[in-house]
Amino acid sequence: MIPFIKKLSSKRLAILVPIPLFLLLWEIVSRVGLYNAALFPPPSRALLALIEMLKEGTLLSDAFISVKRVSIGFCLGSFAGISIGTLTGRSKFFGITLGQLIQLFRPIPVIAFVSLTIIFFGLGEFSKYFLITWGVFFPVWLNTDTGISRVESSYLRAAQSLGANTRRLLTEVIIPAALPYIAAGMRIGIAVAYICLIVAEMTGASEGLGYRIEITRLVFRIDKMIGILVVLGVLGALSDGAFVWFRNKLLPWHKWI
Amino acid sequence: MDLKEKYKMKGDSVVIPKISVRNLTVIYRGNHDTPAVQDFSFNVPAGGFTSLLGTSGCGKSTIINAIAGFVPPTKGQVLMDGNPIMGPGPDRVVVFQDYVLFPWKTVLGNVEFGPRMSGKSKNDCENIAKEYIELVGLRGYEHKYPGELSGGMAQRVGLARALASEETGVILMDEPFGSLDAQTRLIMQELLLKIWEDLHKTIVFVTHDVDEAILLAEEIIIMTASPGRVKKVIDVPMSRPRSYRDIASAEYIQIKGEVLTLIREETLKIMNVSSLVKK
Amino acid sequence: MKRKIWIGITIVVVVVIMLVATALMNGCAKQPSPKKLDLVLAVNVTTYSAPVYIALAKGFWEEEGLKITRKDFAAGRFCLDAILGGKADFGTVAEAPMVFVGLTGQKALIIATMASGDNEMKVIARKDHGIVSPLDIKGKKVAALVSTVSEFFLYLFLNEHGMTMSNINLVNLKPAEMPNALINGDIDAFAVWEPFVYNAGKVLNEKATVLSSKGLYDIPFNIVIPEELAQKYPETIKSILRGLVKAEQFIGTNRKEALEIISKEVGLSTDVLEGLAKDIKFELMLNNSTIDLMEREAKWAIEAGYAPKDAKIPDYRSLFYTKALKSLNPKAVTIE
Repeated sequence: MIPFIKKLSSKRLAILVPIPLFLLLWEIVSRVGLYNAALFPPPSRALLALIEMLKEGTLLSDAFISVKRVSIGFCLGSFAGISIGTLTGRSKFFGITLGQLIQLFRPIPVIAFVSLTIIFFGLGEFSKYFLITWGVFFPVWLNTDTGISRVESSYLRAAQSLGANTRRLLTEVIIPAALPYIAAGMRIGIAVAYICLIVAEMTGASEGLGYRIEITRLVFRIDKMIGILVVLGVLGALSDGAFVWFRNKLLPWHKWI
Repeated sequence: MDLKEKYKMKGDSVVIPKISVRNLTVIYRGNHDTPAVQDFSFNVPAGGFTSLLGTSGCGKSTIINAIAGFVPPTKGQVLMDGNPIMGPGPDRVVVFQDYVLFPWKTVLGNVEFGPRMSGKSKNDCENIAKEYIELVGLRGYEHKYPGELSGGMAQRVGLARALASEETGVILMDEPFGSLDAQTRLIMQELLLKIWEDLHKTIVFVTHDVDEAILLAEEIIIMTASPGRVKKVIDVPMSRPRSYRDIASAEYIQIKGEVLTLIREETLKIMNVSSLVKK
Repeated sequence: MKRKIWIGITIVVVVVIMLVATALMNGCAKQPSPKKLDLVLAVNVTTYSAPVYIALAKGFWEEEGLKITRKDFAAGRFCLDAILGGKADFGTVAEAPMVFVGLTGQKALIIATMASGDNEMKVIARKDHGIVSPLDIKGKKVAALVSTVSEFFLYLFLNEHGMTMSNINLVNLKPAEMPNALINGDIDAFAVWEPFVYNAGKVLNEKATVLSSKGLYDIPFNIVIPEELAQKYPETIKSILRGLVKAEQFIGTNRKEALEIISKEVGLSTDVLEGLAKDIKFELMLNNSTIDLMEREAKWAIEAGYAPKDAKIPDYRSLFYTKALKSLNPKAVTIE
């Protein structure tokens, strides 16, 4: 036992110790009975609730539909953000006109658009995609716009003196130089996508993790709710990890720009 | 000296200089009083190697930028083969002080950039690039990214990239070795000398390093401090091929003495150190 | 690095201590005073809230010396949140949400049922979506508000016609959102209380059909208070009830004016209201049948996975505060 502990580096210990310790203390505090155990369930109950939802089949189907919504909304929002960001970052005219218009909408929280979205697009899947797309668009657009408009002029000069025309300048220099910014915007977009997902699923949904959170709230199934929150946390972390992995694979040079 | 006289060759045909800067004045926007460069004239013959030597801030880079087509002349003209320069183009490639390699491209990607822009086939581009990568001694580094290279290696890539743009007759070098340590710089200078002697490119080379200017150039244009004017044109008639050992030759020492005196005058002018001037 | 681990552990311990401390502080009693006069009322839109509307409009609570601040909520379930969260002193809540209060060991108390009836809940469906009779609802998108009488009624309705919740696609919506969703065609039907069914029907006209089920579900609509109010201010509770007694008498004696007041609140014409009101009993009571109903609903909740499989059905008597109503009208209370 002791040699085993010695083998673990102190860095590993620093990572491994707090989480089980936190869970253990939570379990104890919850079981001591100071709080209503139904409203402040111990982690063991949340785990049981997760297993229960797995058996019911709702957990997998909810997670599947939510991931689908996040993926589609994220792709659409990123696509729109990158295209329009390239336009506003490259063209002075669009940068001022369209840029100002977008800046007007940017500070409005997504939750404020839920009712309007439902009135415009109803309760169907499109509303969910729209809200996530809408939320993802802004960070991706802002970072793309910044990345594109701040490409160092020396790169442009170097490329021009090597014979690059306007089109090649965009595809060979400006967009690649902005890619690390765009990637940073998309990474924020992933986090925003999950926020928008929950917001979108809270109203008028009949499946999905956000819907399930709302239902568990209405019936005070806090153990299930915590279980779903853990699933959301894991999904979010996995998405972020996957994105970082792909970024490092596709843009191995991103740290040098 | 009359330009026509100087470039008149046997058979009475007038040879048009490769680069001709005529009464160039550049005033940057928002700086109406002091031009960066004033009434500046010089010529570089085809295959020539001209150094622009001056104290920092004298407008050396402005002249390079004007020839490259990055900065339009406020007054005067910049001609190449007798035609005014309208903008940047692959016939005049720039080697920058801070390399300006594209960090998102590998060494190979950087070097084949010029050929690709000229529309050569993928195979040709790669072959040309590999040839020049080998020339600068970076074989085996084709798939590294610039971020993984040392300064000396990066500038060799910069040089290879400029050379690979094969229709380039003119290479404009803006203090290309200024960021390198002394040892690396020496090697780079020798490499450049060899390449120039082999490939017969026309080179305009900006530097504030007296030794570098004398060692490399056929002709040194010494510039006044702000605003930049031509102070004096000095021929460097040392024989070729040159090497770093020539630093010890009597000819070299004599030219260096003259250049140093001229540069010193300009340096003192801007530093305003009166006690030293009296000597 | 070792030191950092200890810092981490310390932070975790401090967080836990803080949680424990807040729990203890919540338990500490505040200074009691004989009567609380400033009250926050949580109310939701339904014809069953009529006595509350009347008491407010006619100043019956002011006569009792109470000063009422009114807060509106989308459903009784959300009034309950306000009561449990200490944001309201009393509110309108049906029995269904209270089932979950009992199942989770929380405390809120029913002081009286103020309205009841078995013809308030209806299913309204789109005929043009192929629903003309109850069985056509199979496989359709049907909205209800989870955890409320709206959902339990839908459950009963489906059972009545040999179906279960798994036969439909349940969409969770707030009552006020349901008519629009049906009109836009986002859902095929919804099950809820008035005025939402009537309003949707009025717009959709021939395109909609109302599938009513009179007698299926007799809903006791209640006044609920936080436990603290019962412990500290029993007199205040009596004042609340006296105001409601006056309101219910007023509904009996001044029918026309009462209907006009309710009409303004729920947005239905007095004619329509007259039709609805004849199926509603406005009478303060605490009935044993409510407890039977809640026990049945608790079983449903466990079946539906809304409560843990091992959950025990609590003694729902403990969620009733009978003293006040008993002192006003002993005959109205059949709960021991």
